[in-house]
Amino acid sequence: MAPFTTTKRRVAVTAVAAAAAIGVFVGLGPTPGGASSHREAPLIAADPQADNTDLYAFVSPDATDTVTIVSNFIPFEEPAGGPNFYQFGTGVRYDVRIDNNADAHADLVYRWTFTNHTRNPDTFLYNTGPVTSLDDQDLNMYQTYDVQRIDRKAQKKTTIVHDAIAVPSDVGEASMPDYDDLRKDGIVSTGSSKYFAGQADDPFFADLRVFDLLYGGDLSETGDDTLKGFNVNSLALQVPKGRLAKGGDAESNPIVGMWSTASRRAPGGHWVQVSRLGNPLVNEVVIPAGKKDAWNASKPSDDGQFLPYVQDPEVARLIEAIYGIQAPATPRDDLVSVFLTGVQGLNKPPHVVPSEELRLNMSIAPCTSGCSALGVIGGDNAGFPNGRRLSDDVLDISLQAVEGVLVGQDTGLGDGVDANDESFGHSFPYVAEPHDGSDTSPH
Amino acid sequence: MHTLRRTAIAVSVAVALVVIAGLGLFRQLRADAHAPLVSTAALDAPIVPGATLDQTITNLQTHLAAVPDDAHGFAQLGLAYSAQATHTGDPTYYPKAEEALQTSLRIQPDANADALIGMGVVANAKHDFADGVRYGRAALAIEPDAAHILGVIGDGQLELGHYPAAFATFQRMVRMRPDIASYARVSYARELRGNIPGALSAMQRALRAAGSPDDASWVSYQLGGLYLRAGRIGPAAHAFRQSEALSPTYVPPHAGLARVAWERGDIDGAIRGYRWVVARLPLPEHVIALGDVYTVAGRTKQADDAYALARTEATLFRANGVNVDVELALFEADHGDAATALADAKAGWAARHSISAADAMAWASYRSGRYRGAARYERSALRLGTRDALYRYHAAMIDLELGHSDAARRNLRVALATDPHFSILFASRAAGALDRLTHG
Repeated sequence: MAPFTTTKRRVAVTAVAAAAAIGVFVGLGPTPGGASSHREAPLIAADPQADNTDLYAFVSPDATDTVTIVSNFIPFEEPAGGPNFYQFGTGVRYDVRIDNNADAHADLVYRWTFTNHTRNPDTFLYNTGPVTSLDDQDLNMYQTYDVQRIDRKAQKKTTIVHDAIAVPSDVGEASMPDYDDLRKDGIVSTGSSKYFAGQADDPFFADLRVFDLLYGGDLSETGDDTLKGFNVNSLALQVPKGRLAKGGDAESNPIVGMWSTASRRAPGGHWVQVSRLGNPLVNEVVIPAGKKDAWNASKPSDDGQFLPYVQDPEVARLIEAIYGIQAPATPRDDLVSVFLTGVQGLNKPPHVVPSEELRLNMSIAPCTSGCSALGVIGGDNAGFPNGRRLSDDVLDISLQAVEGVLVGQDTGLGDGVDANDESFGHSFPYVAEPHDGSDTSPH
Repeated sequence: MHTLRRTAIAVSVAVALVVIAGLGLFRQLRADAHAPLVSTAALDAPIVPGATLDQTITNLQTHLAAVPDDAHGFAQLGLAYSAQATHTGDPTYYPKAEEALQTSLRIQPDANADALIGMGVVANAKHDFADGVRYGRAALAIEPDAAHILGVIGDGQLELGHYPAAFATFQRMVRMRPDIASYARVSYARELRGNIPGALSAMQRALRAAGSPDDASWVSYQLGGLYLRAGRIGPAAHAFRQSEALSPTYVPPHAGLARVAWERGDIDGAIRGYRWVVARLPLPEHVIALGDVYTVAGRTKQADDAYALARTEATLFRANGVNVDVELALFEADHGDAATALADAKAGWAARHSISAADAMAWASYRSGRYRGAARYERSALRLGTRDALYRYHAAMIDLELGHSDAARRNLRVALATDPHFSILFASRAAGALDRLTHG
């Protein structure tokens, strides 16, 4: 069934999707005939190192005076991804940006930067023997990182982590017999804060086919976790709530907004933001085709330009056309609250400037009983869209939100995947260990 | 014959790109599948992660047989054919690519940026750069925020000889989206202007931005070429080996290593290397390089066979709409008939005023005994300040005919200082000529 092919393209295929389809191929022409006048470069390059997949923020369940933020990069890492496996980008600034006074501008920035190291330049091997510690000489290629805390208001830049070693990709059992130990070694503690950079199982779970089927098909066909068995590279930090709150006062100012970005440098010194992520699925559900590059380069303070897409998402209309589920009346103030301002009485800060940020009310305690992967719409205020936990089923939540669950229209729509393939940890960094490279069928 | 290295590198780069781009497809889809709408695209037109370009084409064909009104699918198929042309060196895929893209545009005449980008890519691939720019601009009007479209436009402008415009386009591209695609273009722009350290630095940046072993392999190969053209054999060899290690099935670095073997005086190794490459990727530039090594080894019969094969291939390219005038002019100037070379060069110059077209005009004019015209065109070829040893050699030979021995000596010195092994056929002649000018 493809009656909406054209429309679908328009909606479904984001600029990046189009790029994907094209970029793929665009190796550009030949230089036949024997000479070289025309030197080609690829048209579109995948940039997974700067591709921000998901941002999570939650009150730490085992340290409730702290907040944990996880930002993931490099989607769809195959566990057996030799020869170089997966490294963070060295020409990239990885930021988590915090807006603690709701003015749509970052007040605080936590910034990761990485440096590559190769012990033996004569070999291209990732490791030259079993790696049993982070400083093992057999780990031939490794990365170190710094974390800076930038206080925009005080104009103060502090390096809080210096030359820490990133936990390497899990190459396999023979190469890394005790990966768990490497990972524990990789957690950096400074006072009551913790930092981590390394590989992890991708905590996102979803049947991505749902976005195809939305446009014509049978949603009951879904139920396979498309992300199963893939890893990502995670950046995690755990800091006392007061470190994030306005004026250091988490009691009076408990709601913080945040988003993550990745930037690369244009020759000449100019940093360019190439990826932006706050709430999950915004690109998919909200931002239309042709706007993806603009979105990724944009700032929350400029989000007014995207308001119409939130107030009248085309996805809802498509579902109405195909499935006969009536789209809620527009303009969608309910979605404005989810994506742009926070929900009144929950995570909407006073005097908020509408902007797409993941907003967390840090005063809401972690859920201990009656918890729901559907978060707020499941009656569990400690979950999405009040921040986002690793276990939150954001695809179902987003789909149901778009279909009007917040204005009383409960469709129960979903993708049939309700939990991750791996269970999460009970302590920092919480993300599950990566699938190792010796697993021959990780998916 | 002129510079084989240029030849080998440039052309195999093209192939490399496509190979890599082909592989990149899957990475890209994987990478973006996390943004589910991308995976939608993947599912819609069933591009399967891990599939080869062949499989992708088959899948798209099957899909389009069932959903014949899928404009996006036809655009993808067009690009896949174009990639296949470069990947295999078989230009018969270009007409197929154009047909698929035209079908896409017929189904969706409005706002079909994908198909227009595809048309631009194919036009550039066929060396119809004016059309490449036109299609690119049409696509950009639909998607003004898409940095990659600037790549299509800038590539076309560059090859038309519109250098200030092209450099500005690349600058805009890299400011919009710094990634290997834009870094590599900036690197090339710097190299053309003679800024080798800047070109290396931009390419190193591209290497750091490479998101996968395949991409890194492609960039390493580029780096190897830059080092070779700067006469730095050791770093070049290392870069080619790294490229090979990163992507063991990727053929081009083997051509680079064959070239390194020749530069190090290992003629047998070079022949073995090029034969290995030609057996897997029978592109004209590799065939010609093999022919030239045979020539300097005194194996004339095998050299002639290689050159004949290269000519046949050029005919095939022309038959499929690829404009090879500039490339063939240089080949004919060195391996064939001066009049043919000049006719080709003139046709090339009529279409575009790039420095390569100017150099072809200069060299074909020189071979035809038109030294004054040759000098004028060679000045045009050097107008950007490119540190190109072959162009300098051409300039020196023209200088000699005009009796400008000081200028000839200067140009030869620059050529040999830039790269003492700049050409399989001419490097030693250049050294001999300089020796005679200095001591004779």
